[in-house]
Amino acid sequence: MDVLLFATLNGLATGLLLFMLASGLTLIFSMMGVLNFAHASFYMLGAYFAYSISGVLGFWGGLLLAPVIVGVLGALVERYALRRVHALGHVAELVFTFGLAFLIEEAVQLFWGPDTKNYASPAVLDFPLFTLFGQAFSAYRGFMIGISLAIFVGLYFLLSRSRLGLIVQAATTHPAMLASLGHNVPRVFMLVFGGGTALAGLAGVIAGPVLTTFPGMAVVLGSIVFVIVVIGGLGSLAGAFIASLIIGLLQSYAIASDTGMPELLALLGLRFAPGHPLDTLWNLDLPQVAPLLPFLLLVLVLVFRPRGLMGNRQR
Amino acid sequence: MSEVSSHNHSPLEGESAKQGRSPQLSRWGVWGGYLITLLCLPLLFDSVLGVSILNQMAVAIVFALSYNMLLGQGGMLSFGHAVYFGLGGFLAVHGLLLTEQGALALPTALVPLGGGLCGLLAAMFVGAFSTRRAGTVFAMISLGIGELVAASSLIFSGFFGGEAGVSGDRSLGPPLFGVQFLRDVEVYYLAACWVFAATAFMYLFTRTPAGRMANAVRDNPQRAGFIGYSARRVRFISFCGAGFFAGIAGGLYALNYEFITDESLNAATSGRVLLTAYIGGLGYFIGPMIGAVVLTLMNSLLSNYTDLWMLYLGLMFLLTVMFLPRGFAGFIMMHRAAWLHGRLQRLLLPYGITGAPALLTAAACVGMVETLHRGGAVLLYPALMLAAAAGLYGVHRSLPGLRKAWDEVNQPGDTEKGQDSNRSPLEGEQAKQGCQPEVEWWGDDGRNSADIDNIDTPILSIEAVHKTLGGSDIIRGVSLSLRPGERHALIGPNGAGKSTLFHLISGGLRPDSGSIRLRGRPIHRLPPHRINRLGLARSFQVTNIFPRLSVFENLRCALLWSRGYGCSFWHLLERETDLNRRAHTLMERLGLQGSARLPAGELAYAQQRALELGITIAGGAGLVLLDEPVAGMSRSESAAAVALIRDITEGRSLLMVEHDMDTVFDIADRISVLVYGEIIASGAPEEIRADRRVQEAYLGEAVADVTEEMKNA
Repeated sequence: MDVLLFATLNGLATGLLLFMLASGLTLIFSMMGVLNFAHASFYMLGAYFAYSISGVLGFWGGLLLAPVIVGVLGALVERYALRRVHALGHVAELVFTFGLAFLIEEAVQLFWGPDTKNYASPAVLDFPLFTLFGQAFSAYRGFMIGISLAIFVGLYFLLSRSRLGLIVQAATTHPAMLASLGHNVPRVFMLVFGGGTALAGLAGVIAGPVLTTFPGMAVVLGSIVFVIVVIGGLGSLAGAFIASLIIGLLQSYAIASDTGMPELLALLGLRFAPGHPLDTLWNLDLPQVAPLLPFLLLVLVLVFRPRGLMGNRQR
Repeated sequence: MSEVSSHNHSPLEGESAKQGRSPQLSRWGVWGGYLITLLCLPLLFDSVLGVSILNQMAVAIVFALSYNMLLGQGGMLSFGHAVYFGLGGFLAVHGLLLTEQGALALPTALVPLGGGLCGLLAAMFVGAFSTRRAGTVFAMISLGIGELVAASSLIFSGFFGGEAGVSGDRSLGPPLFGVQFLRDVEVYYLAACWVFAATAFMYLFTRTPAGRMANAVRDNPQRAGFIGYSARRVRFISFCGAGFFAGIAGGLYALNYEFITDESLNAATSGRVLLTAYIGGLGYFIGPMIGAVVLTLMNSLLSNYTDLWMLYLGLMFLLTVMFLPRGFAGFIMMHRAAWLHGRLQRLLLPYGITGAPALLTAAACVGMVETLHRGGAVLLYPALMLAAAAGLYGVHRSLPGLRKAWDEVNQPGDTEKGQDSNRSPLEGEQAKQGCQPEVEWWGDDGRNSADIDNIDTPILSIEAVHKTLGGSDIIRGVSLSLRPGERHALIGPNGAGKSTLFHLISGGLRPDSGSIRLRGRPIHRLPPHRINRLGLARSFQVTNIFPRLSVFENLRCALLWSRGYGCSFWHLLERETDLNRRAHTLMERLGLQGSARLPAGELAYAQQRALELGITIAGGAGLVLLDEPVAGMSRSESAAAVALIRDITEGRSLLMVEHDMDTVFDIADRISVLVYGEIIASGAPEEIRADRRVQEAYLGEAVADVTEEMKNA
């Protein structure tokens, strides 16, 4: 019971964090029509900037400043590079963001070095929020859940209720029409790209202390976020939200459980002697295959329902 | 062997004969030169490092070429191509191990083939479900499969050897002509043979029906369906080929290093091959080879001088994508026109004037990065920044000069540019009357042609078809039947559902209820390519051709299925004289022979419409559906188009949607009027002209009344 509860809470925390990345990615997708491979790299930049800033201004300074810096960087990338590549077609765009991810990773190693950074959560939040069944749930994770929820609610109201949100929504579906109504569509694109990357940066700031800040952190999360956006349905915010939670919980449960192939086979009444050629296969357990699950889900969804859970667009 | 797109080689054997067989000769020259280069390289670079770099290049070339088969030629962007490379490599190492244990007597020289077969098997399995769509879905499936395989490789340590990988010994296999492959240079010669063979086969593949249709599907999968090809099947074949050659590259890799780890099949390797092919230039066959050579050199030489070479590589990649979208090969090919004019040397000076400051900027930036990395003197920064700024200023000042020189060099000369490429397609009308073609272009085996039709059974019969789209009833119970040889026009106001009905008949959409029969055979559940094969072809309202293929290729592709080539990858298109003659005849009949080698997307509008008609009727279908064939044409153009339609649909049944009433009454034997998804009238042109309901639908009730009164008066 306690395992289940904590797995749920941890899964929720991860899932909401993933959503912060996925929401920006899916918005950018609806605009550009391609997935931004460098999205998780902006998340990594957020963590590193926050680490550097926190040395001077403390954690809260980093929390405020780092996302802004990342957002401005993202907007600049859109304005001076992506806009140019956009004219060359989808493959060029995709390949460009792919190269950008590569470059950012190298640049991070150049400036911060290849080792793991000791980016710690603030001391204020360094206490157990509550203790259940003898296990403590740290206040920082609670803070993560809280801030992610706040972002989700804020984003929802911004997009559905504000004038700006209306324009953004129009720009993602009918850019030409919006332009003929007198709006500066390229600027909207830049704004959304900047906003999306800023969200990714924010996710980096709050995830850095928990998921460790190192140059590979973008790669680790990058493909998972892709999986989420595709499973949720490209361009669908609600889908991204649901898929984030599914993936977060799935991984968390899989890691926490201690069942596996031996138990499954025992259920079927099968048993294999040790030394069987496929020994590893029969002895797999769930925590081992946990990293495989999102990708398995991705392939299955794409084969059987290519538009994802809630997507309406196919490309 | 420079370009994949077809408009550069002669469409007909006869044509190259006219030019004194020089293309043939130069082709042999290129391949001979390639072979000699491959064989002589180790004589020039005989150091240990040299041979090791050559070996890496050999692997990279095959791998990058196989990737180009996917993306450059087939339009499938893959983020998991390393899977087939890595699996091939692992199987090769296990082959070596089994030979070592005596369980297998696999000659070392054949190990790459084993790798290739492994890659092929894996590709056949994955391709079975991943090639259904191209675009993002395909890219994401490839990413997912890549991650799955990479993650499993760490779990199944029995086969993949975990983090440490597996290693074998290449010198223990049965010797080949006494060669034991103990030295790297011996491996190089083996690899060179494989590289040559793989390059040749991949090149030849681009010249086969399957290879050419891969280009067509890349450009326009929908149209490929309507000329009889299943886009999925065509993609599947390219995908398998790419997997096979990637596996060969993996096998070569395994032979070269004698060990392999999970790194060979992970995302980083997949990314690297994409980079290689892209930097080299995807649109050209030689592009990925250039990319492979350049990147291998950078990889092995640059990494001796700086550990930041990956950063430079990333920068170079981004700059290539931004400024040279067609890669290095594209950059070289940009100078083709200047070279043909013999004006290339005029570019040297402007290039130098712009290049020098650009180099200065680059050097200063590299200096800054290196200083930062190595912790050099702080004083260096201002100097380097100044140098970089000065370089940028220099580039800025000299760019207009370069641009001017470029324009001058590329100005067409007097003798260049085909004089007849601007001819209207309709002049072909006269050309045709001048010389009747000896061969018809459609199947004379009578498989599809109209004359086998029994005159009693309708060629097309539509019964009570309903279709709802987006909640509104578009087609509300349409019944229609066409006799063989009939020319039937479907008219009706905008939004009546004419195009939807066409989609329903040709397989683009499926009816909700009702049935559609072609020669008595139900077709309403078949996909477009199956319907096309049964003898129904259609044209589109918005021109729908293969824009990047040449005009000649467009027509040849349209002929392929009906001539029984299928997805063959064992016929060489230029050898198929009968096919080529048919395509040529058809092209002349359309009046497009002057633009044979022009990419179809560059044709003038009326010419594109003519080509569209040509693609539609090329397969020899007995029933032809034309969707607004003269829309957007001037009066004289449409008159000529009508003559062309009459001519090329001779002896076939025709169903046509058209708004231009002159054209309709000119061509049609029978007219049906579709209004709000229902056929309100059907009959001979005079009956339709006099029908009151039709007048109402078109002109409104009041006008219809007036017309009625005038008639009565």
